[in-house]
Amino acid sequence: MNSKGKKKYWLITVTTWLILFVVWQIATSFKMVPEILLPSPEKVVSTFVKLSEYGYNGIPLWQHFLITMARLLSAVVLAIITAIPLGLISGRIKIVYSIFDSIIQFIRPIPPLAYYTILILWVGIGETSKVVLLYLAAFAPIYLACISGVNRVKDDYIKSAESLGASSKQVFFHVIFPSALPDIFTGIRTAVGMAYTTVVAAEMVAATYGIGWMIINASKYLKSDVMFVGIIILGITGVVLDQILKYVERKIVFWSGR
Amino acid sequence: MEKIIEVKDLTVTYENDDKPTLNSLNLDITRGEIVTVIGKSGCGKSTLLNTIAGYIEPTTGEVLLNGKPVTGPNWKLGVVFQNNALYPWLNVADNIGFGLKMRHFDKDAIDERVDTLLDQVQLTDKKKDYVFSLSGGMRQRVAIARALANQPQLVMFDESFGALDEFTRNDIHDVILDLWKSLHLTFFIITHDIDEAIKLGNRIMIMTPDKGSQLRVVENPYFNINSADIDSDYMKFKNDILTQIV
Repeated sequence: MNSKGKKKYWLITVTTWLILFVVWQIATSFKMVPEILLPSPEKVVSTFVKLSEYGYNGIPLWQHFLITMARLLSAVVLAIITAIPLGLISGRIKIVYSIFDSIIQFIRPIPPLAYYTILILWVGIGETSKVVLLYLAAFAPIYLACISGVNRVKDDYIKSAESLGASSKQVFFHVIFPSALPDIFTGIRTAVGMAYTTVVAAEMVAATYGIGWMIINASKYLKSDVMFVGIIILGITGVVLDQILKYVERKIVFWSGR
Repeated sequence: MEKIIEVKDLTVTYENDDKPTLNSLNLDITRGEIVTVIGKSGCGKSTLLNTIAGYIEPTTGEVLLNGKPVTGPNWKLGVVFQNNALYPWLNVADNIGFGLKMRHFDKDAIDERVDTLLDQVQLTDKKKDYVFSLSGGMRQRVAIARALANQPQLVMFDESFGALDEFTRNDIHDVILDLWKSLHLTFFIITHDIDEAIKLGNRIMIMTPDKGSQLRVVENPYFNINSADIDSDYMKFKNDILTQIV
């Protein structure tokens, strides 16, 4: 797409958000919706300022934010460290695939809340169960992307490396791994999304801080302005994280799609 | 003449196929010659190349490289693929030096050989470029340089120029013939283009699909012919080959 085309679509995006904001403003200014269901933009901004100054439930807003990010990132990093090697090996070695794939396919569609209580019983009510829950949500997308990446490696890439004198180990590290990187990155971005959507669930039970917990706690007292602040923080952070990942992807997997 | 490759009674039957793709096929390739193999699609040309290269195990018979059985892919048998199979995450120099790196050559030796090959395929100014930024013809030159970097005993081309336009293909033909003359190489070229088979082959082998694939060897009086020299005799020779293929 040329720069003129990009600018056009960027303008459409910005206009869409402006329209949404104006509709929100009109709906609240004319009391078309009760404030308890939809607080006004001013109310949300002023609540954000208050939360930034005084925190929520005695804990600064930035601490709520950081603990949520720490839970999310530690789970995603753990998933990356374990799912990439296992996915690559499963894609290459059928015995390993036969052992792990059905288990992962079994766990993948189960909603995390369904096994959260069992996880708490197994690993305790502290941070571990929350991180493990997010880890399980993040693992499958990376694992499956690695298998798909390995299966999509061009046969000629491998044959060519073998004819050039590469050993099986060299083929794995110098051909299969880089060749699968575009799929791995897609998997990581999906994994971050999956873990992100699970973060509120993870902070629902026995948490005392975190943005997800803040939203759940505020909902008990119908503090919709606080809920909106939490939701907007999660939304913006999600977009920023995805943009960071896209940037890293462009730098590392620069050949993808070319 | 020293035989580099001996194919003896080679039969290849794919799983779930009743008929063999290659049937009791015999073939010798001697050092310093260019053998072109021509035949219709599906007659087994690529199967033959894949078996010589060690990618496919013979059902019966054997392929010998310098008298020893080929048991798998081997750096002494270079292959240039149709879609070049260059690694897009590596630049031109790293693609060419890939095999040497895998074989643990030291960096100076790799650099020296890569520079020489870049000069031979006239791509010195593209050394640091990524392959996706090159034209189709340039990519094939890089693929040829990469196959030559290991100094293999035989370089095989699997319909490597089929995707190129006519002008680029002619350029690549010249590069191949120049390399063959200057480096005294041995080439085995699979093609479905009769003109290409005639221009590049000291010997032309015609694969026919009847009774399993068999080879008919044709001595080629028109090797390295210029397009200006094409006459009625050439056309008759070409038509003779064509009638044997179909």
